[in-house]
Amino acid sequence: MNTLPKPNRFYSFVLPFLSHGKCGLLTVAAVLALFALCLGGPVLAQESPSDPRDQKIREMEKTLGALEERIDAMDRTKASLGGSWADKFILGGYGEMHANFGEGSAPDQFDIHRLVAYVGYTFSDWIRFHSEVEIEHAFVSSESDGELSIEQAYLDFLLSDPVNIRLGRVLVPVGITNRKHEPPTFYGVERPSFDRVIIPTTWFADGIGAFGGLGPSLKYELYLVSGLDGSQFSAVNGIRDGRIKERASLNEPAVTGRLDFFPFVQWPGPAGFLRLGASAFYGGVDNGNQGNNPGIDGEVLILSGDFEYTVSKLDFRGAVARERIHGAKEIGNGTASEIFGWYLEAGYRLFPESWKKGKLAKSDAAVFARYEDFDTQHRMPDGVAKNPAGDRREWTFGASFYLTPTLVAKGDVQFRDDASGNDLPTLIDFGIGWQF
Amino acid sequence: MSKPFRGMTTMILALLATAGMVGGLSGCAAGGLSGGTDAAALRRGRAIFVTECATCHRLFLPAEYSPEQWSGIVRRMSARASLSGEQAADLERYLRAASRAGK
Repeated sequence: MNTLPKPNRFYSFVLPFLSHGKCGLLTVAAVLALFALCLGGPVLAQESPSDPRDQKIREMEKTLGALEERIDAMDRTKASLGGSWADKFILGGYGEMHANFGEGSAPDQFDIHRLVAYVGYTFSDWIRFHSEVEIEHAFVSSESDGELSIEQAYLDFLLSDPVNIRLGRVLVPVGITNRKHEPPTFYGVERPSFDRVIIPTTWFADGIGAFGGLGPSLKYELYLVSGLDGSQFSAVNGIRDGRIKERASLNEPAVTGRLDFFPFVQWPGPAGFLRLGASAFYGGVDNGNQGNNPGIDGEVLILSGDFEYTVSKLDFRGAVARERIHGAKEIGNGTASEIFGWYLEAGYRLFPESWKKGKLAKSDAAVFARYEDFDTQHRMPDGVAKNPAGDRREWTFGASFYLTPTLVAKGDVQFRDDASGNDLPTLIDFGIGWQF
Repeated sequence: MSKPFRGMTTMILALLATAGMVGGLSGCAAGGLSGGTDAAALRRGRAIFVTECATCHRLFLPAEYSPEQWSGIVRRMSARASLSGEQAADLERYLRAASRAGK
């Protein structure tokens, strides 16, 4: 590990230039040289460079820096290796409770929608375990739609920056929300509808793969995982019910992966954060639970692009996905041969800085708007009629109040429409969500 | 393959190719500095901050927490994000320095 003195005013000065790479450092060097030329003479006239006291001070500073670095390294080593058995555990979790109201026949309800417990364990400095167990809708029985499931359970083997191995139950790395679904990380009480039927969340699969960084601004994930059950695809819910949550068949496994590009890591550009992502999923659909495969000859290919951009107090994000289902006619259930959808969202953080003090020191607030256009019946197999209820559009307007950065209260209203001509009830939701 | 689907595929392949080229160039630029310099460590830390932390949550500005607070946060979150010891050390260096600088 490289030794490095403690950050000081020098770093404070050069930090803004660091991300410019070579040019930035040349600029720093040029400025420092000019500075030295202007001021060096008078300074040298007052202090002799050969003053033994200065030399001693520099040596002591160097020794002190090295000692601090060693202490930091020991602390890190202790945390990851030498700590007690209990120190090797990491506990966390997230959850959300909602109050849902709707026009007409839509149910008015209180829903403890999700309660998720995270447990991690550090086996060594290069082997880590992560898991999440989730309860949905508070109660699980054969008559309820509550669920108890293992959402994630995998081992990471950290080999090098570009190649690391992941084994177990992982999140399918498609879209935004499937990987980033803790309530404080997205606007709106409920997740976007796009992330319910186009890229169903939470979507996990069992398998093995690699992840890492291809340079400082490019990351990837690539997995061979259990596939979808095509017999559960449908006209209005698309591929959503094809996820296998218990003992997924490996009869026709799938390949899935994503690339994320972060331009501002290397190019500062306008102040802000930008991520551009591309993801894909491809595999057969003859898979069932507990090895009971449905006997379907088909395949599904999902291609998706997404982005997140934050500049000043503005947040933008969006995603688009196109899914092609081969063998849709054989699957039946009104399954489309193509599914397509997209959404765009903009948020504005409006909490005044002057209010951020006392109990509200870490608080924030935001308003947002989101438009979604998605069609689970985008293209139909020959001879199969389109169900217009699958072609939907939604506007969502809402607000979030972050009591702390990881505890949020939300409210929103959703105006919905589909191609069937039926009036869809307007929905009003309130909720509170957290992660820790 | 249908026309719109082919167009989508082409678009994503082009995006991937562009990202690959830019990533490669970025890697070359990073390699231009000797690996042992202080600036290189801070740049690596900044890259980890942007690419890893924002994968799971909103990106918090370094100035939002003190250098001491960042040390505790990095120790906890680096295990959760499966960062290696070297990555965690670079990230902590960057966040402590940037926090002091008020960036």
